[in-house]
Amino acid sequence: MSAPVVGDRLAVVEVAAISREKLREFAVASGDDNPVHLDDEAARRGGLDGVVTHGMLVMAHLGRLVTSWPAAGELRSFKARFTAPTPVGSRVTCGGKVVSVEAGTARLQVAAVREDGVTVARGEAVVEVRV
Amino acid sequence: MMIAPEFVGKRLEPVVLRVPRERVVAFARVIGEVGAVHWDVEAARAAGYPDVVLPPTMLFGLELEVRGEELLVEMGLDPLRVLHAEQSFTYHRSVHAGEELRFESVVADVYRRMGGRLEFVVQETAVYRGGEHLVDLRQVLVIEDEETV
Repeated sequence: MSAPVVGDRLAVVEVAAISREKLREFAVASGDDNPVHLDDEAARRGGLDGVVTHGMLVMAHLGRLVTSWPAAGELRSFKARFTAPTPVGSRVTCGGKVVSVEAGTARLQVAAVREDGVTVARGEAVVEVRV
Repeated sequence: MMIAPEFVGKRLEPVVLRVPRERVVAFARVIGEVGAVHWDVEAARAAGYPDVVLPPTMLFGLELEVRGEELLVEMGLDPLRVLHAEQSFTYHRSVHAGEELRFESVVADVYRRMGGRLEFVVQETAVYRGGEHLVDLRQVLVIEDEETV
């Protein structure tokens, strides 16, 4: 495996349409049972159009994108901003690129995009580079 | 409505919990994480870990599950209207099933933007295993102020 270079793109992670069942399963496994992820009426009372995906489920997929990068060793840091809602039923594509490499670590810029092209999350991770 | 500035600096009651192995496996499954160290204890031990490893984002929900909405309600907010704006993790050590974890959290900041229409709450959390500092979390929540909309 060759050393990572700035500009290298990560292999895309495709997330299949996120179902209500998936959101219930994530609510239980993660511990976040906020009704806006489970009940349309609650979501509307919260100012949304209907049930939306947990930002943290999207961030978890971005996490897989990062940790499955072949050059990724230990994860040092990972952050994300949630920039748009991900309605139930959305498909999401997670992608990223290497933006810097120094002192045995690489900084990756990642994003999750809905099937209509809207970016729902942007993030950054710093990983130790596997030698 | 404005969140009272006295909340800034408020230290929350520490949360202490242990994560069962099956819970780590269930979380890995739902997010599609196939790395064996997250669902197979033998693979985790072969890789040098004491038990299955928590995936990188799992700590967030574990604390939320215990704390619930108490802080938001105390601040006078409707939890349904609070959105998760940002989340960050800084990792010092790996975290594994079965360990006693202690979450120490503080309301780090409360601020307004867009002429007061948006209110933000920042909570910072340090997670410990005994005296070992494992992970730092920082969450930013955002509330759209109904009165100024």
